[in-house]
Amino acid sequence: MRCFYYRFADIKRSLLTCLLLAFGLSQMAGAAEPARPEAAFRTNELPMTDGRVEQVASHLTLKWEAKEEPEDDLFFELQQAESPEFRDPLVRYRGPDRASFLAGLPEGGHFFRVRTIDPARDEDSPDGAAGPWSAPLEVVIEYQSLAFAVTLFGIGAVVFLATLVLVVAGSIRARREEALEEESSDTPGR
Amino acid sequence: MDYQSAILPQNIGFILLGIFSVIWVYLGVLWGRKAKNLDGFMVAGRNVGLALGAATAMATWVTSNTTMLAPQFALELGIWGMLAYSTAAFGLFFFAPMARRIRRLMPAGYTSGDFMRLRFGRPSWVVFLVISLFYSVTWMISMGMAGGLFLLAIAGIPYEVGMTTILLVCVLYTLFGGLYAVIGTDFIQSVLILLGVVIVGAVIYSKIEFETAYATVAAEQPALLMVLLPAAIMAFFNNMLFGMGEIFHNNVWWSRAFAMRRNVAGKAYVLGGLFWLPIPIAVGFIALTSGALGINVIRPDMVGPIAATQVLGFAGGILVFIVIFCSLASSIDSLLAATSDLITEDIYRKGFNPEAKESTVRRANQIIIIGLGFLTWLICLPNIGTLAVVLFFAGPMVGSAIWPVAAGLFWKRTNPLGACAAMVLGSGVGLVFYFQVGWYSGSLTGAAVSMITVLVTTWLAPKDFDWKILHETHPEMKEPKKVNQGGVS
Repeated sequence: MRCFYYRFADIKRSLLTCLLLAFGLSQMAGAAEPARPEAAFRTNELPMTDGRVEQVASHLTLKWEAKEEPEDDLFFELQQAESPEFRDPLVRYRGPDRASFLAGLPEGGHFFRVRTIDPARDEDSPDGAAGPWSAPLEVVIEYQSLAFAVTLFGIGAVVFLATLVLVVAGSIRARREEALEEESSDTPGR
Repeated sequence: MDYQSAILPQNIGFILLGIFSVIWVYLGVLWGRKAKNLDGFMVAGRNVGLALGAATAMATWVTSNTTMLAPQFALELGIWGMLAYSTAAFGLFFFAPMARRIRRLMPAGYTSGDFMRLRFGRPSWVVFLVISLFYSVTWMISMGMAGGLFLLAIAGIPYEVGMTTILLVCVLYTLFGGLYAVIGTDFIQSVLILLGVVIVGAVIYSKIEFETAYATVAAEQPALLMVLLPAAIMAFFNNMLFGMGEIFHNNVWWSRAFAMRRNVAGKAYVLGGLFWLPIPIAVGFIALTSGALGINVIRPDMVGPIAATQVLGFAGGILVFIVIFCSLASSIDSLLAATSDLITEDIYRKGFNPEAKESTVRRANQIIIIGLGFLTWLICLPNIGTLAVVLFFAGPMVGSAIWPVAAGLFWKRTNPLGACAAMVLGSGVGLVFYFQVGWYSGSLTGAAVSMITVLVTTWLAPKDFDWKILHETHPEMKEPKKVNQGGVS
């Protein structure tokens, strides 16, 4: 009888523990925020070569989207770095826009990544509510040849100067001829 | 959509559009009463003074490109890009002595086509008309589309409604008022544009320390401060020669030269250029401060309106609306008037009805204005994005017209067939460079090839020309005198 009593007490204790555990877990589950959707770059308009963007221009328009669209408005964070590990990243943008025109990029490789964020969290707080980072986008910029650019500049300068001489010299000579014409028309016939 | 929603509420946009539309059409009707004859309608009586002359030169050259493309140049090409855009003022400076010469040589002239026909003969005239009409029509289309897109972006006005309204307003007041209305509204528009740009620029300058703006650009957009950015170096003279070609050849500028008093034309163009020159620099500066203002730029051509709203709020949005509406209207009306003059004089009268009297020619001109407006509207309606780029094809073509026009005005011995060949070769080679090398080489190579062709042909086979041939009058257009019933008048 005592054995039965002790076994029943064990069962009661276990049940109670399980109930308490279940209650605690449900509370934690209710307090946890839903995961933020993943973001990705839209690359169909970019000059992609072997999975990276290669271009001569120092500017670039990046566009992105969320893989799932929740009911509330999404906010995004765009970062730029010089290495794929994103050491010392520069935050390019935080907000609801889904594109950004990036100007003045120097030559070389640039890496970009984007994610969704919770706008209520400030920048210093843990980003547990942010979505995962997108796959990094590599952009390689190589400017046009400086020698070619200077050659075109030189040709332009020659055309400009020649046109200047034509217009200025032509105008001066035309005024002289007009003045002579007026003089000869004022002079009584000889 | 990538966001950055409309700056002004739609109802405000409609109200502003309505107010300006009514005012401009009313002014067109009012000033149209001064146009008593063909000279009054086409060339404002050949009596425009210095203030109106300078204002119309400046306002016509301030297009939506000046207020929206110049900031884009600054963001894409940096400081050099901003300066490259402002070199378009040299077209006005260089045209100043040419305008004086035009007025002197052709006291009764109507169009740039008249000059090419009389100076160089039919082949050059035909080539010139092709270049000029292609450029004028594509410019009008680009302005029409820009108007619709701008009103959509700033106030959410549907593209079709905004584009149609702007074109319709410009057609109406040009139809009623001719060049009087065009030049008169240009004066008002130039004052509004200058005021708007100065106010926005001054407020932004007061809110952002120059050091802060510079530090932001240096840290986040370092290439914009590069002196040796190749793209910017290439764009410098290409842009200048594009601008020069536009002004030297197009009847928009020739009709103003014919409209101004004899001793005013040169000074008016110099003043117009001086007033225009700071505008792309000011709007370029506004664009370069976008980083320091914390603006996320999505469309570089909208950075000006967005920056203005950021610092001035709702008032900034209204100011920008007014500035860009004025810049669009001042260009579209000029194109309508000048292009219709070119078609009326060079194609209708010279080609089909050389005996036409003044009243007939004026009626034809008005029908052509309506036709041009309708054609532009039809092409703008589907909003094909790549159409706006077509304007840049005209760069090599107008660049090739620089030397034939200038040498034709000042050199007695310019070879006529050489001038024709210069335009054909310059356009061809320029277009090849445009597509194969890049947009920054088209106008430059077109102008260079054209210059070499004119020089070589004139050196090898000079041909004397009698300037008096340009003194063409039009006695056949005079209306026959009516005989009074009681006697002979």
